[in-house]
Amino acid sequence: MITLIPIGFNLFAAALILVLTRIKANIGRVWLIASILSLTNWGIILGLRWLYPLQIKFSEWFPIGEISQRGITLQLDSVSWPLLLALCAVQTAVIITDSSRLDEIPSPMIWSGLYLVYTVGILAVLTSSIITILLVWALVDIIEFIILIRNVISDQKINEIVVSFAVKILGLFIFIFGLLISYEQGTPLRIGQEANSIGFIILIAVGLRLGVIPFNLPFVSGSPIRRGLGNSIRMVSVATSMVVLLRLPMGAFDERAQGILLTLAVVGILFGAIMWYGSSSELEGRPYWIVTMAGLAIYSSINGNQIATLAWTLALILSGSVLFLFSARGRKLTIIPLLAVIGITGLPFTPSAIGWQGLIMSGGIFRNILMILSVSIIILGYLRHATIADILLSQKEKWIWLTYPLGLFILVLSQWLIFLISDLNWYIPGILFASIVAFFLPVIILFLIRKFLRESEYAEFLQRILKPFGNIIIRFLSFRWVYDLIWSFLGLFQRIVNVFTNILEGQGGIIWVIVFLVMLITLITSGDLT
Amino acid sequence: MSAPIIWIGIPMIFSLILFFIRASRVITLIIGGGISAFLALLALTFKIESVFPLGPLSMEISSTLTILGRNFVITDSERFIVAFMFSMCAFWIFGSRISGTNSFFVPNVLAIITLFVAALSVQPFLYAALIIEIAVLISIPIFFQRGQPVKQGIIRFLVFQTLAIPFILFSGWGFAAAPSSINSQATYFQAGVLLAIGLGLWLAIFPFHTWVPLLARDGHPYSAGFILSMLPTTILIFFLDFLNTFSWLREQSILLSISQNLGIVMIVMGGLFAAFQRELTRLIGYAVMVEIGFSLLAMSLNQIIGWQSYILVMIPRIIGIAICTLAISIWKNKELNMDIDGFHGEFYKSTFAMVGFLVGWFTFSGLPLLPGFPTKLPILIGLSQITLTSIIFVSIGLFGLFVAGFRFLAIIFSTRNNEDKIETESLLQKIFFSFGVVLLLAMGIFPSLVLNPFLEILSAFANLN
Repeated sequence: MITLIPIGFNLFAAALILVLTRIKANIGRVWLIASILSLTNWGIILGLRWLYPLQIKFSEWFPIGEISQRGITLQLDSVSWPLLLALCAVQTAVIITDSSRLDEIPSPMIWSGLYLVYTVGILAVLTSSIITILLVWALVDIIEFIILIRNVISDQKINEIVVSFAVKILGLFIFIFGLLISYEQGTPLRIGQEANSIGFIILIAVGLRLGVIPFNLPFVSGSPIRRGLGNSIRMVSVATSMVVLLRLPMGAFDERAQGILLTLAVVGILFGAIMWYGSSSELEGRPYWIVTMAGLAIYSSINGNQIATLAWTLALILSGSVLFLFSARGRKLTIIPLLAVIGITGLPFTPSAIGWQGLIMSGGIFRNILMILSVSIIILGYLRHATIADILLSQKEKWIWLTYPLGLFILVLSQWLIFLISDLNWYIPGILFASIVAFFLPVIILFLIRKFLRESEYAEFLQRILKPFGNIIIRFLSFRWVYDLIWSFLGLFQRIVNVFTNILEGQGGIIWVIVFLVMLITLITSGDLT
Repeated sequence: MSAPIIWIGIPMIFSLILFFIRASRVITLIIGGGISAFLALLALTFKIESVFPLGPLSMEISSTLTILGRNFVITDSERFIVAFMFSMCAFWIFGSRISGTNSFFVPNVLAIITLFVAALSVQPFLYAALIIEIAVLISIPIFFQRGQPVKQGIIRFLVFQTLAIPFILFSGWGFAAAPSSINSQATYFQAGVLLAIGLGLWLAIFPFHTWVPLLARDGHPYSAGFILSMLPTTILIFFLDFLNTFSWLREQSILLSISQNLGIVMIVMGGLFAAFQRELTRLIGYAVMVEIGFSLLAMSLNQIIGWQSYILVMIPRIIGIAICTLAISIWKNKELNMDIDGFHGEFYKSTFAMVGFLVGWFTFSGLPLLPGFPTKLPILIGLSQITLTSIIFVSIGLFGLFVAGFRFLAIIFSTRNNEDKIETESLLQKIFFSFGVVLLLAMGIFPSLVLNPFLEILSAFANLN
């Protein structure tokens, strides 16, 4: 039952905040209580490090049949604990940094919703059976849908939310389809077992569920919801999807198929990195951040390196959240995102050092070079977005000067704590040349730009060049052309179906039925069916 | 005292009484729903052919009642079927309180369910066809809507159900004559074909499916929902009895193969028609087609997992249809345009009905967390072990249902034509929909706990266990 403590605690916190909001408690007090509760939960999860492996099993969830792993299993182990702590750290950071955005928060109720989102996130990362994954994925999608639909007003955005929900459900069903294929092959999919031939299907399912289609989540630009809740929904989506890659090793792909997959992934990562760098702000670039960083994790997974997958996933969630929550800025404060950058570089004996082992492979020099280049561009983009001037923290009340940096710092601290105290043995130098190039190249480029080009001119210049290309790529990646094609095809199909329906359900329908009946009897009596 | 008197005679007498006092709607509803619930409870608690001490007296409920040489037999193992039928009857009767059905609904529904129980218990089975035809005839008045003529859907329903009768009767005659026939195998085969056609007409299996969407459109939605859920359920249980009795039927690979193919056709057609359908009432008809398709697939598996799924898939189906048609009835009573485009922003006006409809609809689609998932997945797994091609077709059908659901979702949340977001739902309406939604969620989240007891129904079919 210890495994359920973080979930129970979060639910309790959500209920308490709801009550406090109902009795119209002061928003400052509600914030304080929400922060303390979240910090406490973070501490509890940290403490669980010394208690795992823990497992809770509700066997026989499934009513019938010999379905593999028909029970609900939640497991806290070396795979789920880092993700659990990371999610709780983001939750805590969102609430604490909301102190700088208190005057923009529409209602303290939003923290109750936030707790709920993270509760299902926590549940998702603890999943350790196929049935649990399916149920929790659906739960995450439904809760996300409800929260989003309550926060938008225009029809276009409602459509985008529905499309996003539909795409995720499609991902869920593709996963079920993969499960059925595994049954057909006589090796029912199980947690911990290699996905082998259905690995590609699982990759598609995970890709659809990363929450990047449609490309921008429909929040009002600049609204605090976009930073706090928006970031939470994105990161929970990522965690719930990536946990599948961690629990189901991809196994051995056919060499040729692996080569094609890796090349496609590299191209995607490189494009994503360029788009991330070229985005006008970190929030606009968030989908590209997710695509590229998840791409690194998926790339590592295809290469069969699970720990590298975990390292890149943690960097995506934790280092990414530092930047996405960095709403109030200042020269001294920039040190926090700079510290977070260390977590992405993969320098020796840093959290992502092992990540390079999943990216750099012998026998793929061209891909390796592109990979180093991509990570360099990601870091360059990160540094660029972190150093753009925005609202100054000094304009806020003094108590916020203390709480706000603390909220951001907890993310950096969590990444290092996971690295230092987990039992994954990832204190390694990694791939030295790759990490050094990926770290120093962007630093040097940034230094040179700062030295010789004014930031604004440089950005404007580069954006002018990149924008037309970017628009083409966005148009391509938004898959609008695919939607148009599908709609034209469906339109044609709809007309055919309607004609068929009208014939059968019209006045002459009974005659047609008799014709069918005679055909059927003729077929049976002629013995064709036997 | 015999079981048929308790579960056929008494409710039939009550339905007659209710017919005459049908103008008092609330009283009719309380008595009709109450007697159904009581009979369901009685079936769950009393053992047939056991002696019960009643103070100084004792009572034994025998299983057989003979009328004019025909036997009505309700054995102890069939109690769960009886309990299931009457509990569903109570569910539908109580739900009718807010649906705006006509005054015939309660007495006729009680009579119809009683006749269904009679059809399942009569021996020889030949007479079941006639009893079901009587039930169909009795069901016609419940579709009547004040000031409206009898529409095409109702007539087609009557035509198809009546057409089934000669096929079933001839098949019954064939089965009886086969043992003494010179070419008994051929006679059995012909009787089997006639039975299949009869069942196809009853169950609305392709190409006899056309009355389903038409009835959903032309009849009162809630009354249509009742027939679309309870008639196939009865027929499916009736057919289960066949399969249990005639073991050679289960060994006919052609029968299994035909039912598998027809199941797939039903799912694909239902799903595709639903995806492109704009009229909400007809959508339910297509969902019913998909559901019947799943029952045929479950049967075609011809193994324990299939039989169990065959039973379990019925439960969420009935509740899903009830909740969806109840919502449609309420919208129709408000004279809303039944084209899905007429539902812009409707979520804000009738939230509970909308949530109910969506939960019901996504139950048909098999969304995880809802009961359609744990009941349909075993069928899909069983099917995947036979052939993967079928799975692809079934996925297309389910995808069609999802598309219809998502299209509806995008419209109901729309803010167009939504100047007044005034909620217009009564407290009773909220309670009814909340109950339905909670019931479906409980089945979806705790299937073992909530659905497993229904597997007792299978105990009546010893050869299928």
